[in-house]
This record gives sequence, structure tokens and C-alpha cells, in this order.
Amino acid sequence: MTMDRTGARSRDGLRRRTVVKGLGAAAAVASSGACFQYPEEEILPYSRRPEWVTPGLPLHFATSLKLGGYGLGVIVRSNEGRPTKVEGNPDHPWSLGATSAFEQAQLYELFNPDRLRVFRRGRDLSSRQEVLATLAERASAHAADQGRGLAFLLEPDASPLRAALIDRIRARLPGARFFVWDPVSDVAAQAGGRIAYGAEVVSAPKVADASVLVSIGSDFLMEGPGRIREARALADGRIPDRPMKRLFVAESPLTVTGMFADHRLAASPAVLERVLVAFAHAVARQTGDSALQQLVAQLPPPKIDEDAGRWVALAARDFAAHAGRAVLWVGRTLPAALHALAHALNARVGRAIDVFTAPHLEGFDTLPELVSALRAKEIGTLIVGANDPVRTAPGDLAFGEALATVAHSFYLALYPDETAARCAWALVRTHAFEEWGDARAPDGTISFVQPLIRPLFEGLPEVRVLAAFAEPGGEDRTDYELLRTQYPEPAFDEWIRVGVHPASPPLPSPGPVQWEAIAAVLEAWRPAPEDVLALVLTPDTRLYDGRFAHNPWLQELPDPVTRLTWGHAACLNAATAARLNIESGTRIRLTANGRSIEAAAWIVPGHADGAVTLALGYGQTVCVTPSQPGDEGERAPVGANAFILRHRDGAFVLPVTVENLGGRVPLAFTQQGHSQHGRELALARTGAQWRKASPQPFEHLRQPEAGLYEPLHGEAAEHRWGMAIDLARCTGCSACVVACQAENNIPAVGPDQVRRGREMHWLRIDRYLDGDAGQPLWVTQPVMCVHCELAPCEYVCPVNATVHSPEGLNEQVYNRCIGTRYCSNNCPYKVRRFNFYDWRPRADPIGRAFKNPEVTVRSRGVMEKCTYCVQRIERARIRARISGTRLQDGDVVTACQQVCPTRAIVFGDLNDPASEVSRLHEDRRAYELLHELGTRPRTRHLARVKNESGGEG
Amino acid sequence: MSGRDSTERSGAAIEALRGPPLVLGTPTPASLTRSLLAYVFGAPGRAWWTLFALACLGLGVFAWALYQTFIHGVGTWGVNVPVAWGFAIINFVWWIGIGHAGTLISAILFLFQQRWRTSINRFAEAMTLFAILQAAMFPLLHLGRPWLFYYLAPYPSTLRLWPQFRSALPWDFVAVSTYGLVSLIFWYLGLIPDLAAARDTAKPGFRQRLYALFALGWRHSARHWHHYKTAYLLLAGLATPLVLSVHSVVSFDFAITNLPGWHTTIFPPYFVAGAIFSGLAMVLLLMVPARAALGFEQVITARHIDNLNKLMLATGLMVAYGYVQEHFFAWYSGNVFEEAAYAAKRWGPYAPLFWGQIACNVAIPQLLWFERIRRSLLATWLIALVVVVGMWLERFTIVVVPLSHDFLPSSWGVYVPSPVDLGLLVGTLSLFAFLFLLFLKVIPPVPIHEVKEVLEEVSP
Repeated sequence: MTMDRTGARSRDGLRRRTVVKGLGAAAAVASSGACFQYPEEEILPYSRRPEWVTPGLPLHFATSLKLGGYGLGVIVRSNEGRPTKVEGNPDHPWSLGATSAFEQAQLYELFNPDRLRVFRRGRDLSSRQEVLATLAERASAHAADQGRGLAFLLEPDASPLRAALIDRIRARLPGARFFVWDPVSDVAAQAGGRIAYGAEVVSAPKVADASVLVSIGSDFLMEGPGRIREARALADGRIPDRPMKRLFVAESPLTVTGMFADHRLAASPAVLERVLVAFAHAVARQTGDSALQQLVAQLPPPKIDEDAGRWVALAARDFAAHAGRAVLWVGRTLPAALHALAHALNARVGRAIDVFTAPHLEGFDTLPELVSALRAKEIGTLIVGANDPVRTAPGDLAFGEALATVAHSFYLALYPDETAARCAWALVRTHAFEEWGDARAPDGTISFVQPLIRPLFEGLPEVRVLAAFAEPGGEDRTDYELLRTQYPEPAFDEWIRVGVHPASPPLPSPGPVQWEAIAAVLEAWRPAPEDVLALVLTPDTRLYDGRFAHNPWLQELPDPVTRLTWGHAACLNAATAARLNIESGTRIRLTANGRSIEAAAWIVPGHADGAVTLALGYGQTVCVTPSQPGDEGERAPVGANAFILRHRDGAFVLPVTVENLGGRVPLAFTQQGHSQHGRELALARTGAQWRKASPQPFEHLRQPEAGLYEPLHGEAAEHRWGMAIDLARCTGCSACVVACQAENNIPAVGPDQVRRGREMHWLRIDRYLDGDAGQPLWVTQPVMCVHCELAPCEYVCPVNATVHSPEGLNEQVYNRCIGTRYCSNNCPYKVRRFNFYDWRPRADPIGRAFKNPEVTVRSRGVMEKCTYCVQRIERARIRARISGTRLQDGDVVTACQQVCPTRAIVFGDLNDPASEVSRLHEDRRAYELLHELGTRPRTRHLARVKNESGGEG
Repeated sequence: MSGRDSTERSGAAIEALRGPPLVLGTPTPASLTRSLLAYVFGAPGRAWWTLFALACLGLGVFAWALYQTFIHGVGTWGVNVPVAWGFAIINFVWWIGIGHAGTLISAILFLFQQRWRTSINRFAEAMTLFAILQAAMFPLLHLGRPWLFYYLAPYPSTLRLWPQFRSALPWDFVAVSTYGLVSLIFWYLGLIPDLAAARDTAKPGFRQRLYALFALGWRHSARHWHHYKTAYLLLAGLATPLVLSVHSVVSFDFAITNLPGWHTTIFPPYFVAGAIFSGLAMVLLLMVPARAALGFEQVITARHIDNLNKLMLATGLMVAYGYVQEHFFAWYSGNVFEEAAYAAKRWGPYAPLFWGQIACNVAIPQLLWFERIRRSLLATWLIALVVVVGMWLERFTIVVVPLSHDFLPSSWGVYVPSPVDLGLLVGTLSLFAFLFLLFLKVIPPVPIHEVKEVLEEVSP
């Protein structure tokens, strides 16, 4: 080997040349390798620290989020200047420390890579400066003509600041016109309020004071500004073995509120009208109230079937018997006249309700008037602040075409949507976490909006655009200046800290109910025909009116009822489906008002016969590969836009024809079937069953199973963490699922992967239909890792990647996991989730900024699952250690527990006999899921117990 | 031994017991060597090249599937939650099962002095080795992070962390690697005298030198033979328990879990029986055509085929017994989860596969009760094919169905294999065929020296 060409041979077998060559090659290889591995980047120390900021310690800021015009106080966690988690503000009376799924997902909304990032003029790029200059120019042009030809299309918003700005614009430019558009607001309820009180009113039911709750077509636990407050009050009154509130629900689609009801009636919208009338008759008769009797005398008693009759009899009896402690909700499918009737019933009998004069612009649906004005070429400048009205406008309005008639249209856009494409100017709008402002709750409570971060894309807040028209030079007033003008009080800084105004001026009362006006409309009212197949349009439980369509957290959140993700479906019951000869997944065409869309059919047990329900807000083309947003990813339309079926009259019920197109739509759902197959999983008992039950009815689901191994008790450890989930409180609203996703950096995976069964939610909500046809019991059951003391996942892991902590946590060691997936196979609860692909976002840094720095972002090939929010346990432990105290009950709050509107989830130390979780573990209703396997779960569920009427009526 | 009569009678009885001859005709040792090596030394024919080209094509598919798996991850497969194990584990168990016949024939039948095994043991052992190779790939491919596969091995790591010995997977790792290693040594040891024979008869050149290298200087001396026989016997003794242990350990992967449909004590013997069943089927599947193509009718006689078929029938009956027991106990236990899991097998979305498995593994093999069928080459080959397919279906229903239908109905889900899954199955089949075709052209597929021993007995 050392013989070279010349035949010369060095004495030691190696030649100098060879050595130098080898060394050179080795050096080259080594250095090139280093180049590939570590690109040169400069890192800089955090040398000039902002005040309050300690690297590694999060800060919390109070702000507000708005939906449907009303504000909800929230507290946002910020790590080194990045918002990383939204929580409810306990000081806000409509939040009480909880939020719904929408608020949780606002975090993603802020950092959404799909947001509009640049100001646009037509198709050209523009800039903030150019836009502000143009707005000032438009304002001065309209100052000359008193604002004629100037129009604003805004969302309803009870914000005092905005109201003040609008007043100033009206004072300066009296010709300016304001239109309001909220595509899913309850128009009929507004109109009904106008009839009953002669004013715009807003109702605030006082659920805490009510014993009997009746809903006819209203999903009040999921919709409306009171969805959290009312759910909390209802759940607090649903503790078995204590006096319980009773909930009657009659509705067309199956909803969260309906699943929670003690007596539920499924009825088509036309029957619901009759049910309400029959209810009014029965209440009037039973209370003997003459005013009410006179009122209902306008209406002949309707014919309803036996089931409906029984429901009405029970509901009316309880409603009348609990006069003063009852409340009635009426849904958006019922006409204004019946809403007025409901106001009368509530004012006269129920009385557990506050009615205020609505603190915002009159009307919710003046878009048709705007379109008329546009067609008459009356509008020269249009400022659009409402969310994507081109998409959400009723089909017969053809708002998109009308919009083209305006020379100067400005749209404040969060996303580059259809309206942005049709307006002359698309303005980058600030997200709520990027702006200053204020908000109001239905009872007048004022809360503040403060920014969490400097606008990411130099966006403009709506108030600043309004200010441009309110005063000369107003476009240069910042939102902070505007807010301080509204609140010049020196205590402002303290209010901002808390987030809530300490003494909000109460909203005025609208005065008494105007009986004559109600009687007049009732006389004119005629019930809807019963023999027509009705299409019920509802706001979506996840996308609301479609504004969250670009949010993969909400797109992938399973609908609480259908368990569908990434899409909607036309829901109907089995009988209707059989008549139409369709089944779940069939592609159908829905035609209403002469326009049609395609959708998938979906059979939902408990849906009313003779009706089809479709959620609004779909039909947008969005990124369906959440780990690859931007250009790399795939974009596809999700669902169909049902807004185009609507008519300008604002009705949410349309006569519809359904056509079977053949073929199937691939839907992405996370749970098939409803049955528990006779297994004791999600336990529910009727009140009658419960009263007859033994003192410890679930003892057989709690006693330790005999085993060969010494069970790990953990009494010796300092803490023994455990959880209790009360199914009597859980409504299935799914806020916890998104909260868990935000807290624990859980990726969304897209519809294709959900169809393959690879969704990543650590916490899921199982939904079962139990009981018999006569007394169906819906149960929603949150299931996440139950942290078994004898965990089946642990003994099968070949590499010790899942192990037990002394305090009883079943821990997953990501570094050690090699991905055999054996643990998942052996997990009887199937709560483990596997990273089948690399789900770490590949977008620009903005797409990653919301990640919680205290939770590892998992890579491909690793198993993961609920940790009981171990990072929160450790944070609390550190805090306690620094302050030299012992951890108290309530110091550790998991993300799901914190967000839960009904406090159905309780976490704590089982070694502390006084802790809430210890108490709940010993409750009569507590049981261990799959107890017979001997896994000894640390999470216990508490059975749902109903409070149905005795049945004697 | 008392008198001439009794000797004759016992001779006749032994003759009757011995059955038909194991070698047809009266070849001389030299002619036997020539004929058994003829195919090895001969130029590859058109059929060989065609099959080889097909195998190479399949290897291309394999390369694509491996690329997808390693670069993008196991997400390219059909696995999900709840069915976190799919084709990879099915194929692993199936291939390992097939790998059982070789050692059974060469070790257990050797210890039982079944002389008929001689003509077929090399063949079966080669098949075993190649099958183990295919099987051994899957558990590693199947990992979420395959580059960390060595965490499964008990090595002194700086983390001072051992594998988790309560899990069945480290046992798998040990059982399969031990079995593979012992099979390789056993096979190679039996090969040495034949490699020497090949060395002695091959034309001078590279090939002869290769044979010489691997013949380890074997000179057919009496001492060599003495040591060889002892070592072979000892290795046979060592390999025998492995036949029983490997698939028992593989079955623990399932049996130690709490999953209804997996958590069954009958699994170890039932898996071993199934393994041998499928292994014998694979031997027949390969041997029947190879015998004709290679011209080995002389040494692989109808009696060999008949014996293998009888063994297949016997193990098939054991497997059928296992099926009956499984379903019986699921019902008899009264356990709602168990009953549901087995009902899902029978009537669930995978029911066609289950009934296919019953047809392939239970119903059709009953034809082997008939001697005419057992001695018909075509029938044998077809039944072997059916059994190989049926055993794959059995692995499918064992792995997938219980996972798809476990405790909480909310989590039930179905598993549909992806193109990459199919690519890996096709790929391993191709690699197996590729290795087997090379084996036929390189190594004497029938152990020449052992056949000669039988020949001694036939015509002393």
C-alpha cells in the first residue's frame, strides 16, 4: 500500500506528501461540516432590561375581547413581550375568570401567518402614511359637504369610546351615515325588544336567581355575551343532593344547551312557534294573570303533538310555579312578535332577568339600507369596519357588486378576504391585542382594551380611522390618546391594571313592557307553515360568523355536537334523512331563495324532524396544512358559504329543497357513534334514579382492585396530584380543548390528518347518548390523561420514556421517546397523541411566537399527552418556595380548569384532605373511568345527574 | 436379534415404517455431487433473470418506501391513534413466523432423527435467514425516531439508563437477534462441507477462491467430521428452544398488554404453532417450483412433500384450536370488552379479512387429509400459497382489529394502509426473492453430504 508510482518507498511506509494531503482533506471535511451545522449568527445579551421584565417570568395584562358587540374581560400572559395565553379576567362580571373557545383562539389570531400584512390600494402596495393622508383628505373633502356621501359600515360595538367618536363625527359631518352589520346577530330578538319596550334593549338573564330556565330555540350556553356568566350560574345550581335548577329546552338542532337540558323537545322551527304560543297559554292559565290572558287571547291555542304538549305542560307548570325565579329564552328562528311575547312572559312571570337599553348603534342589520344607498349612488366614501360583509351579506343583496360603485372604499381588514379584494383600499387592521380601547358588557360594565404587543404589521385601529373623520388632524391621534380623552381620570392607570372600570355607569332601564304594542303585533302574526322542510342557519360553534376561519385551532376543534372538524354539515335526523333518501356523508344540494350550495349531510340523533341545520361562516379558502402556513402550505375551501342562501329580511329559517347529488363528502370527525355499548363510561342518572340510588352507588367503581403489586399511593410524597371532572357541570362547550392547545403548544394538523385519526388534542370531549328513547341522556365527558397510579403505558415502554413521578404524575420524557407507540396501544383511555410528522410550524418567526416557552415543542416521532400542566405545578412550587410558604389548594390551576366556564374541572392535592379535589373524589357521584382495569386513575369523574320534573304533570 | 426369521420380519417392518425411499434411483456419490451442483455452476437461465429483474424492480419500490419513511416519518403510513401499529408489526410477525420452519426442520427434526429432512433443510434454513432479515427491519423502521433504535439495546450508556425490562420490546430485540445469529451460525456450519465440495469441483477462478475462503480449509478428514458432527448436534440443541421462544416472545408484545383481543394467555403456543404453520407453507411455496426448475426430483421426492404437508396440517389444526379457544374464552369470560373485541373481528369492518383468514387457515388446509392432495404438487403449492396469505391475514386481524375497537367507543377508529405501507411489504417480498435467487446460484441448495449419508443407508 505504500508503493507509489515511482516505486520509491519511504522508510516508515508513509510519505510526507500523503500525510499533508490527508490532513488537508480532513480539515476541509471538518470545517465544511461545521458550516452546515451552525450558521453564523450573532446573539446579544439582554443588557438593558425593561422595567418589570425578568427573563423567564411571565407578566399578565388585563384587556378585553369583543364578540357580537360586547366585551369580555381577559388577562393575557406575556413572556418577554410575547402574548402566550389568554385567561378570563376574574374581576370582569361576565368572564368570572373563564372564557369560551373563541377568546382562547385569539392568541393564534394575533400571530396568524395568514393575516393581511400590507396596506393595499387596489392591487398595489400602499403604506400606512399614504392611507392616513388619504383618510385626512377624504375627511376634509367631506367637511366641505357636511358629510354627504360619507358612510360607515360598522359592527355593533357597545364601546363608549367608539360611541363618542361617532357622536363627534355626526356633530362635525351631519350628513354622514352609519350602517351596522352583524351577520349572525339575533335580528328577531332586537325587533321583538323594540316592539315590547319601544327601544333597543338588551337582556341580561339572572340565572343565579332563577330556579326554572326555559329555552325555546336558544343555545344560550354557547351564544351571546352571557354564554359564560349564565353557564357558570346554571352549573352552580346543578349540584345533586342540593336544590337544583331545572332546564327546559325546545329546539330544532341539537345544541350544547339542549344536551344539558332536563327536558328537551326536538321540534322544527314552525313547531317551536306553536310550542311558544302553547307555553304562553299554559302560563297565562296557570298564573291566572289577567294581562297575560288578555294578551294570549289574541292567539288561538295551537295544535301540537303529544310530546310537545307534555313538554309544554311541564315547562309551563314549573315556570308559573316559580314566578319571579324563572327565565325564558327565545331563539333566533322565532319571529319578532314571539320575541315580544317572550318579553311579556319574562317581565310578568319569570322576572329573573334584567332588561337594559342597548348601549350601541340602533339596529344590527342596516346593510340592506346601505345597499339601496349604494345603488342610488349616494355614497362617495365608504369606511368598512364590519368583518367581511361581502361574504356575509345575504345573497339577494349582491353587496359585492354594490360595493364597486363606491369610488373611495376603505376596508379595515384582518385578513385578505373577499371584501378586501373588492374595496379600493385594504387597511391593515390591528388585532385586539395590538390596540387601546374600551368595551362594554350587556349590563354596562366597562372594561378596557390595552395592547399586548406593538402592532405586528403597523396596523390601524378602527377608532383611529373614525378619529380621522371626527376632527381635523384626527388621523394623527393615537388610540391611546383617544382613550385618554375618553377617560381623563387620574386613576386610569389603576383601572387598566384591573381591566375593569370600577364604577361603570349603569345602563338605563327601558321602562315597562308596552302591552298594547305586543298585542297589536300578535294579532297580525300568523304561524309559519308546518309542512315545509326548513333550513335553520346558525352561527358556528367554532368559526362564529366565519371570522375565525383562518384559525386552525378553531377549525380543528370538534363541534361539541357533531364532532366534526374542518367543516360543517347539513344536520338532520334519521327520519328526515330517510325521507330524502340520504345518509351521513352524502353530498347534497340545498336550495333556498333560488340560490343553492352543496354540503354534506350528517345524521344527528335528537335533531328535529322536518328541519335541516347548517352552520354559517364556512366557504372560505384557508390554509389546511397548519404546520406549513404561507406559500408552502396547501389552501382549500372549507365548507360552503350558507350566507348566500339568506334573504335581506334577515331570517335564519328558510324553506329549503334538498337534492341528493350522490357521492360522498370526505368529512373529518373525531368521534363516530353515540352509544356507550352498555359500558359504564360516562355515567348519567335521572333525578328519579338518583334519589333511589344507594348511599354510595359507585362504590364498585372506586374500590381498589386486588392486584399482585403494591400500589403506588404517594401518601409519602409531599403532594398527590389529582383531578376531578364533574359531568353534571360540563356542558361540552370545548373551551378547555383550545385552552389546553394554547397552553401546551399542541399543533393543529389539518383536515387530512384528522381524517386519518391523527388529531393531537391532549384533551378531548367524548359525547354519548345514553338512556332510552323516552328519556335520552346526553353526556359530555372531558377525557385527558387520567394519570393512573398503575399506568399501563409505563410498563410497556421499552426505553423508560414514560415514568411516574413521586407525586403521581405520569410523565412523558420526550428526549427518551423513540416512538414505538406501544404506550398508546396499551392506554385504555387512548389519550396519548403521536407526532406522526414534524408538526413544528415552518412559517416565519411570527407563526411561532405564541408558543409557551415553558412547554417543550415536540418533534417528529415522539409521543405526548396531558401532563396535568406540570409547568404550572412547577411554577407554583417555585413561587411558594421563594415566598417560603407551602403550596395551598388553588395555587396550581391547570389550563383546562382555569378556562372552564362552569368549573367542571378541579385540580389539586389529594394529600390535603381539605382540598376541593379531595372532597370531590369522595363525592357520592365520583367514580373511576374503566375502574375494572385496576389502573387507579388520579382523575375521577363525577356522574351527571339530571333534575327532571317528577313526571306527574 | 434372536434368529434369522425375526431379523427378516423386523427388517420388513422397518422397511414398511421407513416408507418410500428418500432418494430415487441409485446415484453414486460423485454423480450426486455433480447433479446437485450443476444448477449452482450453470449459467442463469431466462426464468432466473426474469425473476431477478422483477425482484430488482420491487427493490426500487422498497427504496422509495424507505425514503418516504425516513425522510417524512411514519406519518406516511396508515397508522393512527387508536391503531398505532399497522403493516410494520403485521409484517414483522408474519416474517418472523415464516422464519420458524428452517430451524424446526434443521434442528428439531435433526434431534428427532427424521432423516427425510436432509434434502430440504438447507433450503428451509436459507429461507429462515432471509425471512428473519426482513422481519428485523420492521421494528426499526416502525420507530418514530429510528435513528435512536439503540436505546432498545442494553448497553452501558452515560445516561446510566437501561431499557425497561418489563416491556416486551427489549425481549423482542434480544430474542430476534439471538435467533438470527444462531440460525446464521447453524446454517453456515452445515454449509462448510458443501462449500468444500463446491471448492473442489468449481473451475479455478474467483468463485473457487470464494468457496475456499468460506470452506475454512475443510479437508473431509475424519477429525473434521468428528468435530463437525458434535458441533452440529450441540447447535441443534441450542437452536431447538429458540424455535419455541422467539415467537412466544413476539406474542408477549400483545399478550402483556391490557387490550381486549391481545391480553390472552393462549398467545405464546398459538403464535408458535402459527409460525411453524406459515413457515412450512413458505418452504413448500418455494420448494415445489424450485425442485422442478433445479431438477432435484431425485432428492426431493413426493415423500418429502407428503411429510411437510402432514406437518402443515398438524400445525394448522393447532392454529384452528387457538382460534376456537380465543373466541370461546371471549364469550365465556362474560367480559364486555373481550366479547366486543372478538365480535368486531367477526362482524366489524374487517370481517371479510377475518373470514378470509378462517377460510385460508382452517377450511382449505383440511384438504390435506387426502393423500392425493398431499402428493399433488399443484394442490400443495396452491394450499401453501393460501396458508401464507391466510397467516398474513391472521396477523392483520390480531394487530389491527383489537386496537380499532377497544375500551372507549369515542376513540374507535379504522386503519387503512397507505401506499408506503404496501411499498414496504412489496419491498421486503422483493428483497426476500432477491436474496433467495442469489442463494440458488451461489450456494448448494441441497446439503450434498447429508444426502450422501441417506444414500449410504439406501444402498449400503
